[in-house]
Amino acid sequence: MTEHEDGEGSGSPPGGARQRGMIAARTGLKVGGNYARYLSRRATGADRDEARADLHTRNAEDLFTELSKLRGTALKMAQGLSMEPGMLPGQFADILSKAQYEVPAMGPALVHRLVAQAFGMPPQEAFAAFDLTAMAAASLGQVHRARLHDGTDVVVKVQYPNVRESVDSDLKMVRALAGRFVDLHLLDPYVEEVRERMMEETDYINEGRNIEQFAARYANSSIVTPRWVEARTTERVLTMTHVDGQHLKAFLATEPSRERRNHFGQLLWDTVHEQVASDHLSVHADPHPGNFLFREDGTLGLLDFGCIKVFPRAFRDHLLGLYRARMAGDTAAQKRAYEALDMLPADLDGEERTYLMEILDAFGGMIQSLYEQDMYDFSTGELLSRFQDIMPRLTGREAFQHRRPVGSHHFVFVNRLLVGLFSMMTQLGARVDVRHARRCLEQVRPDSLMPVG
Amino acid sequence: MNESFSHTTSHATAWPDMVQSAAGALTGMDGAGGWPVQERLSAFFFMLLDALEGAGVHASTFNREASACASDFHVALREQLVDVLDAVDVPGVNRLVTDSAPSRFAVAEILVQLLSTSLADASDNRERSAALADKSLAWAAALIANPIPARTLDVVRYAMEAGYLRWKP
Repeated sequence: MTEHEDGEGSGSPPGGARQRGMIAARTGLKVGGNYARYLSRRATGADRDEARADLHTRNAEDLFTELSKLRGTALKMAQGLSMEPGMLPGQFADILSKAQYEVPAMGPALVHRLVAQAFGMPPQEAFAAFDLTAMAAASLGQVHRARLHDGTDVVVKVQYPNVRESVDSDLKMVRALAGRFVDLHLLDPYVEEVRERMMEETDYINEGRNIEQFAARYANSSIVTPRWVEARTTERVLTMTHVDGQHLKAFLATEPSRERRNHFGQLLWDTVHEQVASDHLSVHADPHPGNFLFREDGTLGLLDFGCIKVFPRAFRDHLLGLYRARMAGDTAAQKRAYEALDMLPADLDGEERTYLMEILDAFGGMIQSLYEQDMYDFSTGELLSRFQDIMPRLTGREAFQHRRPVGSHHFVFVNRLLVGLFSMMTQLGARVDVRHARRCLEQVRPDSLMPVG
Repeated sequence: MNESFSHTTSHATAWPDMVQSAAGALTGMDGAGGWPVQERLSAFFFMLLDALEGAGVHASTFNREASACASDFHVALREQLVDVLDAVDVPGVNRLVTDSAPSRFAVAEILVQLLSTSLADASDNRERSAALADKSLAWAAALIANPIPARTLDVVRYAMEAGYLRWKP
């Protein structure tokens, strides 16, 4: 469940394959038109680098405008791609990384119909009370307040019609569009990764089970989760208990004390590290500000369990092995971890390999800096500054020229988790004690040297 | 399937009744008078679809008996659209157009085509066509509530009154 402002227009995603195909075709045409303008500028003597940068910006804007009309799948794909080294040129990443899920609302009549179809009775009968006006919109649905007949306050997430059926066709279109920039056969594992998560995310029964799993993990802790109301859930309509609290924006608007911001930052920071190091091997992979609630009693509400990434143990262990190698300055162990995580493909030539190692070193150094002292202060903006220095190298012209993604496909959601976490911590401006997080990351020892695959 | 819809002679009043009952249900909904035109149009459409489904109307029957512009259903739709499109977000200038017979005919035709498509939709819970209908009606509503004609008229009127534009017959 995420809160977003309504975007332009309204209604559900284009329904038919033909209609969706037309959007993709239009994007292709626009991108083609932009290339024509670029070639024309080159022919007239315009500066080549400047013209190419303009081209990328125009393409990114067109791509985003059109992809946003396809709703969830395409946007998630675009966001995932924008974070992969060598996937997209920098201007694409800039624009796509700003992509929040700009989802227009469904009208009350359609919501009424979808709920009635789900439960075989109108919402007013299925629930003691049901507000047909959405309280929040999400990438794949929208959320309504309701009350069960036993008086329990709940929220009901209603999925936009035909989203699940559209995932495959959306991904085919995104794959075709991305093929202009990336070698397709290298892209496929990433596309498949997004597809798997999307199929899980569109199955609300799966999300209900995830809610219960995380509720059990966080029972009697400072993390509060909703509880699943199974009797009022189908694949497309999910009912869960209501959790009170303020979203990040509203919380910061109250000008909370430094102590309170540190408290919530510490909770968030420790929770993510505990998840990564846990034997459950599963993490909440959608750390969007709308998915956290800052509660009066000091507990942190955790929402939206649609996107849960379950790591293969070997991947998780190698990832933490890489962390330990960095902290110890063990370059041989780092290299072994890079190779195990597919971050240094064997067929890279010397120049490409050197270039990639530089990027990995810069990125690793940034992560390492968070853990070097017992305390880390996100309010200094240092992390953001380092990240902004690295991003052009991750997505800049040189990376783009390689036209190949690197790293295991599991990194799609690791990157999403990291960027989301860093963004939240920076907005909070929290100063956190990293000792518990360090212990979490250091306690896991690889029990396998098998490649991640 | 409801037998009353399987013969051309037995339901002369049923089609218009269905339209009136959907319009009546819309009027009876809490706060519907304050809804934007998109929600009013969308609610009207899905109530009509619910009514048709509830009566077991098949696409072939609908197409044969109700989709023609001279049918009782089409005529009743055009009549009810005056109220349905009477929404708070439709500028006065646009109402001059939306209240006209050709505009109501066009909107009625969109509704009829979407109803026909929905009734023929074999997807689970007719989700494919539900999304299409929602999107199409949002498009139609955006045209109906488009502020540009009213804004254009306002600036032209002001420019003329203030002497920036002169009318030369």
